[in-house]
Amino acid sequence: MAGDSILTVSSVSKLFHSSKILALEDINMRVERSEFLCVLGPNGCGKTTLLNLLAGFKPYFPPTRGEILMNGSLIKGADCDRVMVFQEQTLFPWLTVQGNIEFGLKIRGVPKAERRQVSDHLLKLMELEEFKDKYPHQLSGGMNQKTELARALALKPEILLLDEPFAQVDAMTRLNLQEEMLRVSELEKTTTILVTHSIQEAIFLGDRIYVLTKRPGKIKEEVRVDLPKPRKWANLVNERRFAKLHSHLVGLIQEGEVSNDVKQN
Amino acid sequence: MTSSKIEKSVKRIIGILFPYVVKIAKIAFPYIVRTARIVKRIIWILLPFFVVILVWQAIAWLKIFPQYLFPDPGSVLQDFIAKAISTQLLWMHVKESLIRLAYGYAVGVGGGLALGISMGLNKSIAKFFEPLVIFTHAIPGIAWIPIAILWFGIGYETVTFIIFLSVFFPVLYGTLTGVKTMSQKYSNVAQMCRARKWQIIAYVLLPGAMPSIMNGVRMGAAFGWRGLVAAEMIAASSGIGWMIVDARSWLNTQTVILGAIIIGVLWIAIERLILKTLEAKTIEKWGMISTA
Repeated sequence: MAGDSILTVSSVSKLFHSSKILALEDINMRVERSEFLCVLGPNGCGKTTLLNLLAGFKPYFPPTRGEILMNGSLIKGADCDRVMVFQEQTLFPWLTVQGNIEFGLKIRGVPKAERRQVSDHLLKLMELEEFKDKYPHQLSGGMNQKTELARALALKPEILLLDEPFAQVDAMTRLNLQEEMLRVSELEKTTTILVTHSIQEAIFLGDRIYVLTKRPGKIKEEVRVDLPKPRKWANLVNERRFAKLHSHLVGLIQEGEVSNDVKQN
Repeated sequence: MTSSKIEKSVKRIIGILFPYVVKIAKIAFPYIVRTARIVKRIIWILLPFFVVILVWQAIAWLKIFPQYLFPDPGSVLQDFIAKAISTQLLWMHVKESLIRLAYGYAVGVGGGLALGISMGLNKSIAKFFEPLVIFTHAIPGIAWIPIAILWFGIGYETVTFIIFLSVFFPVLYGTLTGVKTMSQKYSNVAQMCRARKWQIIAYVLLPGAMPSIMNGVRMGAAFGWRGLVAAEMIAASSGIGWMIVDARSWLNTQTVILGAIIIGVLWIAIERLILKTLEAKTIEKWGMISTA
């Protein structure tokens, strides 16, 4: 079981020197190949910092202490083996849906015919075919988010990093996107790390959940989600195991709240 | 008897034709409405000009001012016909002006973009050029005319140089602000794709900074146009600006007025045909500005 880990984070801490904020403290985690890992924590616990660290973006990268190993070697910064989908809209407004999906391939010099093949496949997968010639400003938030996912998948990353990708869409769309996400990740088998503050989302999507404490972010507990995939919201909400996991995670997070409040007083 | 026969056949023909007439009317109606709307709009645009011309004509009739100072619309029209058709001198001047403009714009926009991007990307370049740019920007383009005459003499180079200076700074500022204010998120995306520097510039920075660049281009175009006319009036022996000054010295007042009208018409053409199209094909299409 320990054999096939793709990413190892050992004793990583991050101190932002300018603001003197200790965002992360002694993070240890392991990501297995093809798994869907969720990092769950309240706002301001350093989830996004952790994800940006893993992606290798400045000023989050490098960590103040500790090391991040990918396939056994130290990561040196942003690279195309780890692709992130951001919380906010980052599609290029000047490219069509198809153009956005193909962007990374174009940069890499992939020939046009091959680019088309990849983007056609992803458009179909994401059910975006009829919108391929539209520009992002002509689409709804949910559709833009699907395009973001497709653009990330087009790069065939080894790890997909998702920073609360469904936070900006309405609740109804979110449910659909989550089911879609699960379906796509089952098909593509991409290793995925998703950061979220939604307990339901973490359970619904994750094979495993790391619960982070409030600042400075530390790993409080590692929780395995023993719910069979594929999962559907309609079935899941009646599932006893779902309810049990949910209340367990609520407990973990509220514990943190209380201890933090006491500290502040 | 025959008349009733004719009546019958006419009625039959009408009976056959009527459905077609209705069909055609149904198809044509929206077009007629649309055309009527367009015609109405055009009339409303032209009406104020028509009124001004009428007042102008009335004042000319009253002969309050002598003809050589206040020519009537008719003589300006006559002058236009003479210069546009008989001698074709007008087109020569217009062509000269537009060629200078094109050169000045090309170099000004290119230079502004290049320096703007380098300043936006490289802090040391920005630090070095910023004070110089701020100072030079404070000098109006036409203030350079005398020194330009000393350096380049009367003609092409001087006029183009003035246009270049007028266009360069607005474009530079537009590009600089565009590059500086463009969200980090776009370059993060490019970084993940392992984009090279030139790719980031061409595929991300330039389109991303386009709203601000277009702003600069628009301002630069307007300044450049003013610079062109001013420079031609002082430092040229052809072109629309020169035509006006030359006409004044011969007391050809109708040509002076004609020149002013031509300048106005040309600018509107440049604005509508080039600038508006450029915007429609870029930032408007991309939803990067709200279209009013």
